Amino acid sequence: MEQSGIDSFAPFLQREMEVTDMNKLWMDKRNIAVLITPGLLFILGLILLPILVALYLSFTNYDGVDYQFQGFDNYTQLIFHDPIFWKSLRHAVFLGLAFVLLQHPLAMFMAIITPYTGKFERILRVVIFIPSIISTFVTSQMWVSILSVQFGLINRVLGQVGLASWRQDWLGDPSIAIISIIFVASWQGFGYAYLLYYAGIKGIPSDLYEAAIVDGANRWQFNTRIVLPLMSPVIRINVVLAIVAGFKQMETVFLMTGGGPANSTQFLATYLHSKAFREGLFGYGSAISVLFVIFCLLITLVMNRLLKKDVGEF
Amino acid sequence: MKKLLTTLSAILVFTAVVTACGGNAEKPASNDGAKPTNTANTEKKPDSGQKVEIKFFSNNPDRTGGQGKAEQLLIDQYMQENPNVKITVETLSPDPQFQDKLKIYNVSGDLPDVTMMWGGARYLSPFVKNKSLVAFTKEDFAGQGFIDAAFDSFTMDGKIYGIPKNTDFLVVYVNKKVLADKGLEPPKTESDLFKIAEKLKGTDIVPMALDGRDAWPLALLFDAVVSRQSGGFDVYHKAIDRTGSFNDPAVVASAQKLQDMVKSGVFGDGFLNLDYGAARNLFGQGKAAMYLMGQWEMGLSTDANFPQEVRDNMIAIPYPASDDGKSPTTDLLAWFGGGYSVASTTKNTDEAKKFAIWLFKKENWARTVWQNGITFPAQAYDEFVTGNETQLQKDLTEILKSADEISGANSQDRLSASTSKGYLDSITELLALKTTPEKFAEAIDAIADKSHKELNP
Repeated sequence: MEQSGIDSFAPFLQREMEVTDMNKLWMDKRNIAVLITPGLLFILGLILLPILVALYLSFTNYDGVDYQFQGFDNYTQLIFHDPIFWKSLRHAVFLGLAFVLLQHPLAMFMAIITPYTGKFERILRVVIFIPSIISTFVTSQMWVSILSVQFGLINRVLGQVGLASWRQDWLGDPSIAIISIIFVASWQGFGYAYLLYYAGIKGIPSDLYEAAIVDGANRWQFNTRIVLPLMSPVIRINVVLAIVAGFKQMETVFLMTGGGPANSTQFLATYLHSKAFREGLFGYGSAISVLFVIFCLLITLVMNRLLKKDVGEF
Repeated sequence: MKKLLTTLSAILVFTAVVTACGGNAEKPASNDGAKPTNTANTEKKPDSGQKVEIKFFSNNPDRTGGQGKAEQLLIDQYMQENPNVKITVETLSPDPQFQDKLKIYNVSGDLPDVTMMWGGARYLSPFVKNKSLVAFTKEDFAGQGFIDAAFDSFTMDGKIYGIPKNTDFLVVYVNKKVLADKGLEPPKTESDLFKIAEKLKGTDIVPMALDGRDAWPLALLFDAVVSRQSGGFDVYHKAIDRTGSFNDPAVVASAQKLQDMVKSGVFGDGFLNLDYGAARNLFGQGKAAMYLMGQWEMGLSTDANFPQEVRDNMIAIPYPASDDGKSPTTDLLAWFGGGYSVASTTKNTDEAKKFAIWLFKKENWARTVWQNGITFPAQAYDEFVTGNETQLQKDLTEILKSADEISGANSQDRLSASTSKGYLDSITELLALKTTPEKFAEAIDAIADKSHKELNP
């Protein structure tokens, strides 16, 4: 500083002035308004407005042609007289729980194991991720054929190894169908859950591993005492994603059973679709969607409360 | 600088708004996602007169077989005869998806000029309510040999909103050989069904293939069983008119019989998740002895996808008679379900109406579907009989000719749009053994009541 004269600061000063000039420009309310207008219009028109329309329609008996306002009729009907709605909600919660309690521990386990498989590491992660790249339509149809009663792979194999009595009507029996659906949905989503955990594990700096080894930790201790705690942000995100996925489950169910037999695999989204588009009860469908959004918000709120914990920097 | 920025953003906003509007004006078909097949006729013919483009919406993606073939043959012929008319075809299958999309088209005021339509209050009323269909008169079809009753299910408030294309009736397709191999004969009475199921138990042959996933065939079966139980079709007609009730001993007994059929394996395992194609395949590949479906599967025995041996052994029989002889096989569940309607809201309404009326000249539709072995027209087709008919065609003709009591509209088609799904669900639940016959009767009676109130406000 002492060595250089004030002149040498001139370019910096000028840049500083330009920056403040720029800042002023950015701070100008009118400019801000102009710049956010396109995005805002987009969001307003395509997201907020439809939500408001749906909210309004949920108070009507809109059937696609005309409607009368009927207050909270749809909601009282849904909440007090519609067992299928509650069943769908229960299934959604089931699926979310199955994701969290079955799919994710397994995905996490695989993710922890993968780095120790040496030359198989690459191949393993590709293989595990493949089902997630294939379109849901294709994998659902594939599972429908695998689970078919007469021609399905599972029943055939069971028959050939002498376990014919274990054969099931995997998708047609109302008490088993939901389990089949949960299994297939877990299988389909496994790749993404795995990928997030794997990336999380890969993101842990190797110095931590070296330090742990120097301190005499074995692999088990390293993974349970260091990796798992450091993974908690990833776990949090994954759990939220899993619950949300459970709630918005639609395509797998729609393609595999269509919510049947006799509503035994009905989920919120398929029920909404069936009410609104198949039965033409758009008002009622809107009411379901409004409750759907409220449930999702509630759950997010609860989860944020439950999982609020910081692991610190590493 | 500041000015420049403001100008730039103004331009940005402007373009965004303009492109957004432009996009809207072009009408993006947002619900076009589920369109597995989309056949378009791009063939151009020399000009003559005003150019017209008619949109034709069909539930038959296969344009080389079945009713899709008949449609396409006639469409091509019409375009040849009227070079100024171009007909583009959009197809979507299976039917529930087709109906979903049709409803969306109706609601958004975007109905194709000519569309496949189903008769009965359940399908027709939302369109009539929306005033989106052209009304025909019987004179439009004078001399085309239409069966008079065929227009009934397309008539609302005295106006005809659709042209019936088939005479539909429920039959049982039988693979003679599969039965004969086990020493069995085609069933004559309902108790024969149980005997066949008993005999086929433990084999990998399904006694009767049934499309349970779509639920509507289950409701047809229910109608048939009720008619056998009660000796006619009055029970459900009266229950839906509310001059009678589903809370009827005959309904409870029929429900019980249906559950017994399921328990004794008449429909095999897993029929509740068997879809249309799967059930049809089961029979076509010789894995099922019988197949319950409408006469429109007349082309089964000419479907090259199936083994010749199976095709050669196919016959069609009426749904078996009741054991007590109260309801013989001449009581036939027959209705006029499918047809075409013309949109009243498009700019081509007149041209489309002209085409639809032309389509149903007897030498067009009736002759084409019969001589190609596709289906039974809702028109007299005697003059087009060639003598080269397949066994199935002959059997089906015989079934229809010998029928002396005809049901008219089947039960599910008579219910309102919003209640029919609940009705089908109840029947599925019954067949899934998830409810008792008594509770089932009460449930569908409540549905019939609700439907009646909705249709007669």
